[in-house]
Amino acid sequence: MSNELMESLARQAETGGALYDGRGGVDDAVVAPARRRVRRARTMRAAGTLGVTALVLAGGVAAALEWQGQRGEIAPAITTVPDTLDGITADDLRAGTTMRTLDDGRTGQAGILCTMAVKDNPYAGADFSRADSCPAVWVADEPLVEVTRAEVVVDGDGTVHVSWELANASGDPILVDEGTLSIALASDPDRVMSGEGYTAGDRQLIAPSLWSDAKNRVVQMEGDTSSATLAPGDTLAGDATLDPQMFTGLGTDGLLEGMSGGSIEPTLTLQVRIPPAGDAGTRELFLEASAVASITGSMDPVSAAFEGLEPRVDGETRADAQEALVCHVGEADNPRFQPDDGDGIASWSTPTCEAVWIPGGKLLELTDVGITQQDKFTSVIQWKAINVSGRTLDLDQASMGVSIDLGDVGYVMNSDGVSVGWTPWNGDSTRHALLSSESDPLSLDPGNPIAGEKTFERDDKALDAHGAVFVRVVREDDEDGTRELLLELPWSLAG
Amino acid sequence: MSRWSETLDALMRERGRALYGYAFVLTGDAADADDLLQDALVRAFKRGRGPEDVTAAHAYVKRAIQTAFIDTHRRASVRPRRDGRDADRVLQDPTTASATRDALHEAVLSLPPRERACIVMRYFDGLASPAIAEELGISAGTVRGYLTSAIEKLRRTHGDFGLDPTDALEGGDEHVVITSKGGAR
Repeated sequence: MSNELMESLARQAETGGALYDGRGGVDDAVVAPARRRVRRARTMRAAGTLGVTALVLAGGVAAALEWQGQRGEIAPAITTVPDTLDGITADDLRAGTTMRTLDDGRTGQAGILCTMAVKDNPYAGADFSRADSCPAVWVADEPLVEVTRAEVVVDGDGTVHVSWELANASGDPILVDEGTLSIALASDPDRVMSGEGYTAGDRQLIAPSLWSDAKNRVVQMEGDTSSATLAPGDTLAGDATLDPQMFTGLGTDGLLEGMSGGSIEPTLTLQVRIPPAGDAGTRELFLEASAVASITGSMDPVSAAFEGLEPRVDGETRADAQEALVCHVGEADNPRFQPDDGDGIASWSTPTCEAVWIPGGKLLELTDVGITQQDKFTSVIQWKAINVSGRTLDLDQASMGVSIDLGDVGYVMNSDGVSVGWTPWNGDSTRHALLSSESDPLSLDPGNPIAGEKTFERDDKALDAHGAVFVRVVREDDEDGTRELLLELPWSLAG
Repeated sequence: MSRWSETLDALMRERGRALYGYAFVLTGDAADADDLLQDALVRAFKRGRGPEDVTAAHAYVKRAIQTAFIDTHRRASVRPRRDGRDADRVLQDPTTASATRDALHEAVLSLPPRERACIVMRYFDGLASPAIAEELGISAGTVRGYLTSAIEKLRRTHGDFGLDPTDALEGGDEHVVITSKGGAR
C-alpha cells in the first residue's frame, strides 16, 4: 500500500478542515452564493414550467437554461440619491390601482400587481425567487417613473450591452427596491405572446412581449432587496450584458440579427418593485416603464458558409439538403478559443444551436452506427460516414461529437464529446450540440470515409435510441469563433 | 424554508468541514476549494426536490465535487501546474516525513485534473478503478490509464516512495461506501 500518499492526502484534507474551522465555516464565501445560484436555477425552471403550462408554450426553457448555466450579467443599479427611506410606498399606490389591459388605450403609470401567499413571497423571506404572470394595473394617471436612457450596443460577436436610466417623473419621492429591478427586451411589445415563450436570466428577460394574455404580464421577482428613495427628478442607472447564447432561447427569434441589422428596435422595459410601508405580505406592486432602445454596433459579417441556409425543425426530413447546425456562441464561450490548459485533454461545451438545412443535397452520409457494451460500466458508439457531396469537404476530425437522445429521462451525462440522456431539442428549431476545444482539420475527398468512436457510461436505453453525430465544418475564416457550423448526421437504432 | 434549503443547511452544518476538506485536497487552494464546493452545491441542489437527507446530499455533493473539478478544469483557477521537475528538486529533504508528504501533495497537485481526481479517489476515498469509473462516468480502462500515467509522473517527480502500480490499478473498494466518520465517505 502507498501509505505515504494516503497520509499526504489525509493530511491535506485535515489542513482544509482546519482552514474551514478557522474561517468559522464557509457560509458567506460558499453557501450563500450557492444558495442564490440554486434559487436562480430553480426560478429559471419555474419560468420554463410557466412557459409550458400557463402560457401554453412549446418547448422547455428549463432544459435550455440548465444546459447553459449563467447566461449574462447585470450590474447593480447606481442611484444618484442618498439611501434614505422616505417616499411613496406600495401601500400608498395599491388602493388606487385599476385594471390595465393590452388594448385599453389609456396612458399613465403602468404597473403589475401580484398576489401570493406570504410563504411564497420572495420578498417576505420565502426561500426562492420566481418569475410569474400577474395582473397588469394602472397605478396613476400620470407617469411616476420614466426611462430616460435606453441604449443597446451590439458587439461584433453578438454580445449585447444594455444601459438604462430610470427617473422619478413625479413630484413626490418614491420608495423603490433598486436591488431587484429587472430589465426586459421585447421585440414586439404590443401584442400577446402567442406561444413563443421567453428566456430569462438574472433579472433579465428576452421575449416578444411581456403580455402573457391581454390582462396579465410577466414579471421577474429576483435579486436581493435594497430599498432607496428616488426623489423627484433623481435617477437610477444600470447596465447589463447579455451573451449571444441568451439570444438562442425561446422567444428570441431573429432579435439579435434584427438589432444588428437595424430592422428591430426592441423596447426596453424596466420593472421596479415598490416596497410596502411595513413588512412584505401577500401582494407585491411593480412599476413598469418602457422606451424604445437606441441601437449601435452590429455583428461582424458572417462567413459565406452561413449564407443560404434554410430553417429546419425537429423531425423534418429532406433528401435535397444536409442537416446542419449554426451555433452562435461568441468567442468567449467557444471552447476552441479558450486557453489551452495543457493537459492534452479536449474540453467540450454543449451550446444551443439553430437547426438549419444546407440546400443542395447531402454532404456526409452515415453508413454505419453501432453501440457495443464494453463491460458493465462502459459502452462504445462507433460510426462511419462517407463524403457523398461530390466535392472535397473541410471538416474538423477533432470536433466530432455524439448526442444520444433517450427522450424525457430527466438526466444528461456529458463526457468527452458524448451527450447521453435528455432530449437535446429545446424547441422545434433549436437544439444542443457539442463543440470541442481541439481542432484537427481534414480535407475529405469525395467518396472517402470519416469514422470515429466515443466511450460513454453504459445505459441500456441507448441500445435502441436515436441521436446524431456532429462534425464541425472548417471554414475559410476559421479564426473567427463567433459562430460554428456543424453537420448533423442523424441515426436511429430503433427497430 | 423550502426542503432543499433545509437539507443544504443540515449538510453544511454536519458535513461541511469534510466536504470542504475534500475540495481542498483536489485543489490545494482555499479560494479554488470555495469555488469548487460552491459549484458542487449548485449542481446537487438545483434540480428537482434535491437530495432527500444529509447522507444522500453528502454523496451527491461529493460526486459533484469530483465531476465539477474535472469539468471546470479549463478555469485558470484550477488549471494544473505543469510538471517539469525532477525528483531530487521536488523532495529537498527526504529525511523529514512531513516534508515528504507535503512534497508528495505538491506533486499530486501538479497532475492534470483527471489524473489528480483519480489519484484522490483511489488513495483518499479508497476506491477501486471500476468504482471510480462509475462515479466519474468514464470507463474503468480510462481510469486505469489515468492512474498509470499519474503514478508514473509521481514516481518520476517524487522518486520511489513505495507506490505500488499494481495496487493502484487493482486495489481499493469496488463500491462507494458512506461512513459517518466526520462525514467522510
